[in-house]
Amino acid sequence: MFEVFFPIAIMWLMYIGVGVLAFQFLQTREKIKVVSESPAYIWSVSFLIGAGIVTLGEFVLSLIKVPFWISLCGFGAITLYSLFLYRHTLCSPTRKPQTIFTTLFWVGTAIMMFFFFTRSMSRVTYTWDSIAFWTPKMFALWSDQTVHLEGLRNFNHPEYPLLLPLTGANAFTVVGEYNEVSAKAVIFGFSLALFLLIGNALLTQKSSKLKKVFWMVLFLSIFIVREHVAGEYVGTADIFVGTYFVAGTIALLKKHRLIALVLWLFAAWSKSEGLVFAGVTTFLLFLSYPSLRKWIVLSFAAIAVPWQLFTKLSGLGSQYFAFGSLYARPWIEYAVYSVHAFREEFRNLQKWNLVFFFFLAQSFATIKRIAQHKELRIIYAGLTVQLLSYMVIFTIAPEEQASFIAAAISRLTLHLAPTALVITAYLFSQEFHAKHQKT
Amino acid sequence: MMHKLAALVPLLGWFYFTIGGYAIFSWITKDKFSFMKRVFFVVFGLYATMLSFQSLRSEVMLYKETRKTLFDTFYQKISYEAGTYYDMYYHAFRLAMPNGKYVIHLEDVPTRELHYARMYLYPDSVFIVDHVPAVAGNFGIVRESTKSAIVKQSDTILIYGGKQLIRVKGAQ
Repeated sequence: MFEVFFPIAIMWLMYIGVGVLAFQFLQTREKIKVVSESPAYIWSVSFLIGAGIVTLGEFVLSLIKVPFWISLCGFGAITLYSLFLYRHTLCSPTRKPQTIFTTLFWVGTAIMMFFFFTRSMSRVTYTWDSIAFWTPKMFALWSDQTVHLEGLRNFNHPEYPLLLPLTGANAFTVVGEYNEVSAKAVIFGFSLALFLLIGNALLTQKSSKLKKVFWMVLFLSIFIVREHVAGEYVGTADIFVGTYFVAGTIALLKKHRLIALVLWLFAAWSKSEGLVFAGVTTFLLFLSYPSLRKWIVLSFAAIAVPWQLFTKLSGLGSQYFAFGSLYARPWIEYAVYSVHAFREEFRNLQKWNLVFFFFLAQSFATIKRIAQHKELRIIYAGLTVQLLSYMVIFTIAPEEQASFIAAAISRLTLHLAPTALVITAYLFSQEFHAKHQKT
Repeated sequence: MMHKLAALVPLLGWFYFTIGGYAIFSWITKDKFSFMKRVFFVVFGLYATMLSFQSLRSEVMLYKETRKTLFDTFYQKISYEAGTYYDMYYHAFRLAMPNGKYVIHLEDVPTRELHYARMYLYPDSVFIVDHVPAVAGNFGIVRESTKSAIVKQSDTILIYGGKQLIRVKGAQ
C-alpha cells in the first residue's frame, strides 16, 4: 500500500500545487474568474499543467546539473506555498448545489475508475513499448537523477519527450527504489484528470441528463481508452496526448484561451506527435487573439522550445521522418492506403464504439455552425492537420507500411478520440440550446 | 435514382453511408430535420448504449482476474511478468559488475530479454551479439553451458540462472 499511496499523495499534491499557481497566473493575464469554475475542472487542469511544469522544470534544471531530487524539493516548497495561498480556490464548494443526478453521475464514474485503477495496479508494466523504452527511461533517469544524452540514446526513441519517463522517475525517487507499481499509481492521476474534465464538461453543458450520461458511458466504455488507462495496451504516453488535447479543447470552449494554449503545448511535451497540434493551434490562437500575442509567444518559447532545441542540438531525430524514401516508392498508393486505414479505423466499433460515427455525422451536419465559431475553427483545424500528419507519416515512414499502421493506428486515433467526443457532445448541446432559445 | 443510392451502400459501408445521408438531409431539409434527427439518435443511441454496456460489463468481469494479484507486493507482481530477468539482471549481474560504464555483450537472447537487460544493467550499455568479441576487458553474458574459446579465455565473474557473466582476460 505504501508503494501506491505514498507517491500518489506526494506527487499528485505537488502537481496540483504547482499547477494551481500557474492556473491563477494565466487567468489573471486573461482577466477570467476561475473561482466560478467547479473543483473538478480546477483540480484536473492544475494537475495537468503542474505535471508539465514540474517535469519540464526538472529537465531544464538538469541541463545545469541540478539533480531531480533537489528540483523536487524546490517544487515541494512551491507546492506548500501555493496550497496555502490558494486553499480556498481548490477547496471551495461548487457554486451550484449538488443534485442527486450529479452525485449519481460521479458515483458511476468513480465505480468505473475503481475498476480501471485496480486493473492497472494488479500488474507491472508488460506491453512492448513500456518494456522497450518507457520504463527503461524512467529507470535510467531515476538512476542518473539528471538527463544524460547517453542515457537516452541507450533506449529506443530517444527523441520522445520526457513527461512520462520523468513522472515515473519521480515516483521512484519518492519511494526510494525502482518500483513500477508506484510509477503506475502516480500516472493514474492523468487518467483521473481526463475523466474528471470530461465529466465536468458534460455536466456543465446545456443538454438533457440522459445525453450527459450517454456521452460519459460511451467514453468510459471505449476499448482503446480502457486499455490505455487500465491495461497499458502499448505504452501510456498516447493517452497523455489525448488528455492534453481534450483538456485544452474544454478550456478553449470555456474561453480560457491561455490555459488552453498551455495545455496543448504540454501535449508536445508528452509525445512528439503532440507538436503538430500544438504548433497549429498556437499559430491560430496567435492570429485570432491579438491581445494575447505576447503571452502566446512566451508560452510557446517556454514550453515547446526547450525539448525541441535539446533534440536538434543533440542530433536526436525521429526514425519515421524519411522524405528521401518517397522517391523510391509508389507514394500515391501509400497515401491512399493510409487514408483507407483511418477510414477503417474510425468504423471499427469494437475499438471505438460509435464515437467517430457521431463525431463525423454531427461535424458534417453542422459544418456551417463550426465555420462561424472561432474556437471550434481552431480545434477542428488542429484535429485535421493532426490527422493529415499521421497519414503523411504512414506514407513516408521507412517501416513496412501495413505492419506499421497495424501497430500504431489505434494509438494515434486515441489522441483524437476524447476531443472528438467532447466536441460532439458540445455541438449537440449547442443545437439543443439554440432550438430552445428560438422557441 | 434509388438503385444508384443502394449501390453506394456496399461502397461506403453502412457507417459512412449513414453519415453522408444524415449530413445531406440536414443541409437540404432544415424543417424536417428535427424529426429525422430524433429517429437517428434513438436508433444509433440505443445501439451505442448496447455496445457501451457490453464493454463496461467485460471491464467489470475482469475484476475477478485483477483481484488475484491486486494486493501482491511489487516483487511478486514483477515475478509473474519478468521474474527471471529481474532477479538475474537487476539483482545478480548488476551487483556483480564493477563501478563505471562498460559495454556488455549478450549472446543469443530474445529481444524482450535484451530490453530488460538494457534497463537493469544501465548505466552499462548492452548489445546483442552472436559471439562475445575476443577483446581484453570485454564483458559478456553467455549460457552457463557454453564452452567456446572465448569463455576459456575469460574470467567468470558470476553464474546465475543458467547464465554466466564473463570478462575477457588480458590487459585492457
